[in-house]
Amino acid sequence: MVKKIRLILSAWLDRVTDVATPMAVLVVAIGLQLGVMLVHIIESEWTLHYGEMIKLAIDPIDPFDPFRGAYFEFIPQVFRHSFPSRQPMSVGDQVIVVAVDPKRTQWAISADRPRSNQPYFRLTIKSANGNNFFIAPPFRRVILDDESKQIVKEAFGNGRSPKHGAIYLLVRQRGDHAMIQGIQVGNRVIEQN
Amino acid sequence: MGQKWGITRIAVRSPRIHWLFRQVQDWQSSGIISPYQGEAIRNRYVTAAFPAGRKFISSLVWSVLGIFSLLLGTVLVIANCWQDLDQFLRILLSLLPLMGSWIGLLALITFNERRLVWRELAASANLLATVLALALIGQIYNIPYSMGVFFISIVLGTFPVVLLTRSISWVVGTGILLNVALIDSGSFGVRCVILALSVAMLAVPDLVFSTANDWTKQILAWSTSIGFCTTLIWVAQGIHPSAFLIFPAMIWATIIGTLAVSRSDLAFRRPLVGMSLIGMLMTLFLGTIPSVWDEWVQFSVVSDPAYICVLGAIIGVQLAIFSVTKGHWFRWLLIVPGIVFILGMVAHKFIPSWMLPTAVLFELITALVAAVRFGIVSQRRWWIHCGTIGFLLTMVTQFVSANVSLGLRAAEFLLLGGILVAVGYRVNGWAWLKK
Repeated sequence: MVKKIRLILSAWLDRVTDVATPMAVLVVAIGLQLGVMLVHIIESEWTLHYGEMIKLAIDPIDPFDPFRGAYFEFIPQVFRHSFPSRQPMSVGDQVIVVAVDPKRTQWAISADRPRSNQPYFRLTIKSANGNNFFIAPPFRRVILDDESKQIVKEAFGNGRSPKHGAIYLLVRQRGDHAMIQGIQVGNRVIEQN
Repeated sequence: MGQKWGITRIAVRSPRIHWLFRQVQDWQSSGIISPYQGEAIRNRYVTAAFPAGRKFISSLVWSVLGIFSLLLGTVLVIANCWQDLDQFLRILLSLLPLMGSWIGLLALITFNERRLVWRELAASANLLATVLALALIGQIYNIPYSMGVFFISIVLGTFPVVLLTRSISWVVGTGILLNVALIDSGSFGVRCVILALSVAMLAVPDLVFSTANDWTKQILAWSTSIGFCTTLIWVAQGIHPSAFLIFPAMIWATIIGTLAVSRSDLAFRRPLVGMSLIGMLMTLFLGTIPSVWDEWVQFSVVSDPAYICVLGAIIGVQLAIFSVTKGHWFRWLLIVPGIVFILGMVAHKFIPSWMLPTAVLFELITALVAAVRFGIVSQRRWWIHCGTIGFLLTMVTQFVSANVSLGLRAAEFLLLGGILVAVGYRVNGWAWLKK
C-alpha cells in the first residue's frame, strides 16, 4: 500500500517537474503570489473608500524600527486600557469592542454580535491579568516624515507634557477590517493612506 | 605527489603536515632522531594543494553572503527615502523584486536551466521577494498580519516554485518561517524555551532511525518527532486554537521537505537533524538580542552566585573551541546552548546586561565558523548551507538591534557586500555561476 502511494506520488512529482508543463506551474505560482498581494491591496483600498470614519484619541510612543529608524507609534487610548471581563479570557482569544455612545468616545466589550449600523473592532487579546485583559490594536504602526513628526511632537508638547486628546487617529472601519486614514492634529490632517 | 632525492613525496593536508613537522622538531630536540633523519622525514611530505572543489564552495559562500549584503544595503537606501515617495510608487516598488524573480523563473524554464546554483538562486529570490512584498504592503496599509496569516500566505504563494526548482533553500527558508511563527504564537519566553526543547527532540527519532534510508522509515521518523513536538506545544499553550494551525503547517512542511526535494540529495538524508539545527540556531539568534533576555529571565526561578555563570561561560567557550578543533561541533552545538542558557538564567542578576547576549553571539559565530569550515573541508554542502544561512541571520539579527541611522547602515552593508563579493571572486573567480 505504502509502496503504491509512493509510486503514485513520485510519478506525479516527476510529471510536474520533468515532463508536463513547467510554464503552467509558473503561471499558477505567479497567479497565487499576485493573488495574495492583490487580496491585501484591494481589501485595504475598499475599506479606505467605503468604510465608516471613526475618530480615536491617541497617545504616542516612539519605538525604533530597523528600516525606519525612530518613529511614532499611535495607539488609541481606548485600546491601551484594560477591559474587565466577567468570563475567563486567554491570550489569543478574539473579542468584539463596540462604541457605546453616539460620539464614539466610550467603547466596551460586547458579548453579542454588533448591530448592522454599529461600528466595532474585532480584536485579539494581547495579555491578561486576572479578569482584566489588554487588546492588540487592529492596525500597525504609523510612520511619519520629518515635517509631520515635528507637528505631532509640538502637539504633544515635545514629550514633556502630553496633551491627551489633542491628536486623533482617523480610522476607516468596515466589517472586521480597519484601516488608518490619517492623523488629525487640531484642524490639520496628515494623510496616511 | 612529488619527487625529491629520488623519493616519492606524499601530499598531506596543511594542519596535519604542520603537526608532523612540529613533532619532528621535538624528536630532533630530544635526540630521538638526528638532524639528517629529521630533514629526510620532512622532505618525504609536501603540503597538499587546496582542492578545486573546496575553492568552488568557498567562493560560492563568500559571493552569496556578499550579494545578500549588497541587496540589504540597496533596500536600506530605498528605505531612507521611502516616506517621500507616492503611495502608488511605493506599491509598485514593493512588487518590483517579485516581478524580477518571476522573470528569473521564466528564464530558468525557457533556457531549461538545471544547474544547482541557478535553481537555488531563483527559488530563494522568489521566496525573499514574496516575504518582502507582503511585508512592505503590510507597512504601506498598516496591516497587522498575524504570523500565521503571514506564514501561510508566503508558503501557499511560493509552493509551486519548489516543484519547478526542487530547491533546498526554499525548504530551509520555510522551516525558519515556521519557527518564527511558533515563537510568535503566544507568550514569548515560554515559547522560546518550549521551542528549544522541542526542536532538540526532533533529532531523537532521526538518531533512532539513523539507518533509515528508505521512504517509509523517514516518514515514520518525521511523524514521531512532529507528534512529540506538537504535544509539547499543545501542553505549553493549554490546547489553544492557534496550535491547530501550527500542526497542519508542520505536517505540510514535513511532506514537502521529504517529497519535493530530490531524495538523492545529501542535505535531506537526515532532515530531522537539519530541522533540529535550524531550531537551535534560531534560539541562539534570539539570544543575541538583549531585550529577549529580559523576557527569558522572567522564568528564572533560582538565584546563585556569579561564579556559576563564569564557570558556565568558560565551559561553553571550551566546548565551542573543542567543537571547532575536533570537528564534533554539531554534537556540542546541542549541548553548549543549553548550558549557557541555563546558567544565564541563574546568573543574570549578577552580571552586566550586555554580557549574556555577547556570550551567545560569540558562541553563535564560533559554531557558524565551525559549520562552514567543516563543510568546506569535508565538502558537505548541508553544513555550508547551514553556516551560510546562519551568517545571514546573524547579520539580520545584528542589523535589527543596531541603533544607527539608515544611511550609515546602508553604506555599511554596501561596503561589506562589496568586500565579500571581491573575496569570493579572489578565491575562485565566477566559477560558481557556471556550475
